[in-house]
Amino acid sequence: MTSFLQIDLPAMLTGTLAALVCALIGNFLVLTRQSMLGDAMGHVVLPGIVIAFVLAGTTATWVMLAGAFAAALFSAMLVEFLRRIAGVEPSAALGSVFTAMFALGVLLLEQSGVARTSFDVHHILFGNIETAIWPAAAGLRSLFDTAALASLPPQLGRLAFGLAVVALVIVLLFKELRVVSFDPDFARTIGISPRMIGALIVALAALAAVISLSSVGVILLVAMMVCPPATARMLTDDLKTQVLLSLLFALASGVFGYAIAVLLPLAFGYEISFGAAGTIAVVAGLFQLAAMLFGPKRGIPRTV
Amino acid sequence: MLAPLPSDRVSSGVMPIPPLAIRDLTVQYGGRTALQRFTWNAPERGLVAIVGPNGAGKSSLLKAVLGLVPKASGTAEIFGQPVSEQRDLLAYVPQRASVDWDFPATAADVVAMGLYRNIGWLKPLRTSDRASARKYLDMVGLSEFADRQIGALSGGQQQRVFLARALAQQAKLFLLDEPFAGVDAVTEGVMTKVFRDLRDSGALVIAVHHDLSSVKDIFDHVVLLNRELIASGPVAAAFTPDNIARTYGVPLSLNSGQ
Amino acid sequence: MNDLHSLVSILLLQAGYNTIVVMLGAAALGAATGIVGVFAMLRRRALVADAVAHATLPGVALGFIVAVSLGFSGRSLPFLMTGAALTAILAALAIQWITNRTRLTEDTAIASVLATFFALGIVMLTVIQTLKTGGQAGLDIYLLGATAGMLREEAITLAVFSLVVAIAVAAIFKELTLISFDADYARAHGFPVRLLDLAILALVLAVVVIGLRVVGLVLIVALLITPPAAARFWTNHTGRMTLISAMIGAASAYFGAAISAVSPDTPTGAVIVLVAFALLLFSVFFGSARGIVVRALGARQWRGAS
Repeated sequence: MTSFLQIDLPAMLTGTLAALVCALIGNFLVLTRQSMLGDAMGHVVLPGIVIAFVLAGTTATWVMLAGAFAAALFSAMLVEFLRRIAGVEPSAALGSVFTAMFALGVLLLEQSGVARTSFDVHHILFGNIETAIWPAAAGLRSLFDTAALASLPPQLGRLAFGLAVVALVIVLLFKELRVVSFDPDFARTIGISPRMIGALIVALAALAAVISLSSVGVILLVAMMVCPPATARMLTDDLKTQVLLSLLFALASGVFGYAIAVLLPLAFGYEISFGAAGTIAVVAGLFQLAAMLFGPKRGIPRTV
Repeated sequence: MLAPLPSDRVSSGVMPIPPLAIRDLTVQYGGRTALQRFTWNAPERGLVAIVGPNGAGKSSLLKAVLGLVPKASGTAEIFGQPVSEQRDLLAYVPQRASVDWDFPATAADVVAMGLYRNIGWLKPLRTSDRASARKYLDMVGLSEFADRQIGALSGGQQQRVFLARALAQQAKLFLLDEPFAGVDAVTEGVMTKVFRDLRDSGALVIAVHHDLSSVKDIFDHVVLLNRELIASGPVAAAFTPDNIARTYGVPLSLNSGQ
Repeated sequence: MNDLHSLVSILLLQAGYNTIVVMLGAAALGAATGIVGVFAMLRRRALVADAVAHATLPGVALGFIVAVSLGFSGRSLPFLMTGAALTAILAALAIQWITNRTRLTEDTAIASVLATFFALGIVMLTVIQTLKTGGQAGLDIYLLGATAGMLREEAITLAVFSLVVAIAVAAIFKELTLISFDADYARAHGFPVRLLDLAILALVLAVVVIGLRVVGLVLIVALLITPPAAARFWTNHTGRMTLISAMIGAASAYFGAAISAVSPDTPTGAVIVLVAFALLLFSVFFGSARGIVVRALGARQWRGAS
């Protein structure tokens, strides 16, 4: 039990919380046809995080957030410059900027010697939730011991905070998000600015990306922003139900994914273990596949 | 909350301010002029058809009034105030194809969107709002389809859902973009009846209309448009063969377009 | 500045024979991606290319496992590339199926296929890492690319494949230009638009798989996007644009390979992408057809004339 609390519980919580926060905002990315935004976001914030770390010498939450937001803002400006002033085709502008920013991040990681100390390209790409540990845990009593709880891995607090912020905004602005996603022109005629709500969606996606990136990696981030909402999309025609179902699938992916990756091989006495972040993402993808094959709301086949 | 339309608001005034006054409106898309120096005062109430050939700037006119496309010049005022300050008095029914029909929303959800402005920011829908959304659906004959996903409705039914959403806004001025395009006979009948009820309660309905043969049956005012105003007025006076020929015949805009 | 000195000598082809072959092989690859990228961009296949590239990872891992279990070296290129091509094709089919057969839109199909396939690849890599065979460290280079330790035969294979791709494009160049410019017109005149689109996708798959070794699967899409975007600023003519795009792609890969020859720890793909992006920025300002500077000068002349 103690080893479960020390090793498995914090890792499982990290993966699951990240899955929840990404899936929550992902619903609106999927509905507004911006599914690749999460991917782009995960790539562009890397150099910001690395530079912030090198400058400040710490992985404190606010340092990472500041660096990531600066990088996201810089990238957005670069994309806008290429599109509007230079006249580059929009998807080419986005594609060239997000690959260049990620390349810059990779080079900075290698050149600054940060690699292999605090984070590593592999952790950014693959995710590394296994490093979330809770050494202070000693039996179930620790769950109610404030001193022990204080030594929980810092990314847990970061993810819980992000989840609370995203959830609060979505609950408060649910009907505004719904009307802007469905019919932006109509929204404008009743005085709800699609541009403002759109910017809010992007900002929340950026927040989710930043807090998830360093703890679970870019791939789990993309998978969670898209797969659980897409799965829920196959099962319901009600937006509220869709959001709740997506959270359920995110939760299930987090828990089952971690169990399959780490606990299952151990239970059978194997030495191998699968990467937990990757397994969680694969499980989310399998849920989506099942929903696409057997879900009641697959939709009318489109003819090409 | 189903208050009658606030018809006394204007008719009791001494000097009637037009529900919609457009001055010198010009709309351009990337150098091409869609609408040229359009000036028009709407009648106080009634059913107005905007007619004209393809590309005459009919949709652009509605969208510019609503602020959905930028005005190159000119103004549009609703009861003497800029549109942005009179949104409560205005309802818009867009052309059909402009939304994602797979969106997770039921007919009742869409109609309830017409109440959002009334409910206000940050507040959720109340039970009473859901009930009144159903009432508006009933007014367009769709009460049994309230929980149907909008993509699962027929084209005419979808159009009626959007009309119900506009009704829910309890507006004074209704702007509709081709509401009769491609709808079934039932929908046409329902819409015609709803329009007449709105007129009788004191509202003004302005619709872009494609079918010249039905203008006289449905509408009582007409605006003939081909990138600029050709003629306007009561149907009997303005909808003359001569004016129609000037609108659809030799393009008048040849000299004004360059 | 020892590094700079050795970089210059490498760029001037004064390094060893092996390095020269590798750089030229990389340049050939860059040219091929630059050519294919023009049509991938025009037919809006760039994001599909990104997903397909990420989807090669499980194939690479599978190729490794099969090669090792058959007693070959885990780094045997034919195995890895066959595996990569298989899962890439599977991913392309999956995107097609989701877009056509479910209510999900193309962007969601692309993103979910990209994430799931790549995640599966990661899981397989972590499994391979725990296997008790050698050579698994070599798989890392397929993520971000490396030219260090590349064999002469590998570089030559790369160049030959790139040449084949270039010849294939040249053979159907006129048809590709037509469907990219006006697909409806092409369809109305009996051109097999779907078949040609399929050909573009096949070419994209080919360059992605060929490019894995040098650029890596994470960033290869940049070589399909950035050179054509840069080339657009130098000409309004599709033929010339394709040629210039090939040159920019080749230059990016050549410089990238040279720089990573100086510092072998640097992932080659990242350097190549940054060089390509620098060339894009240069083209944005100084391109002779649509560059900002040229347009500003042109506007002044026009104003002066009127």
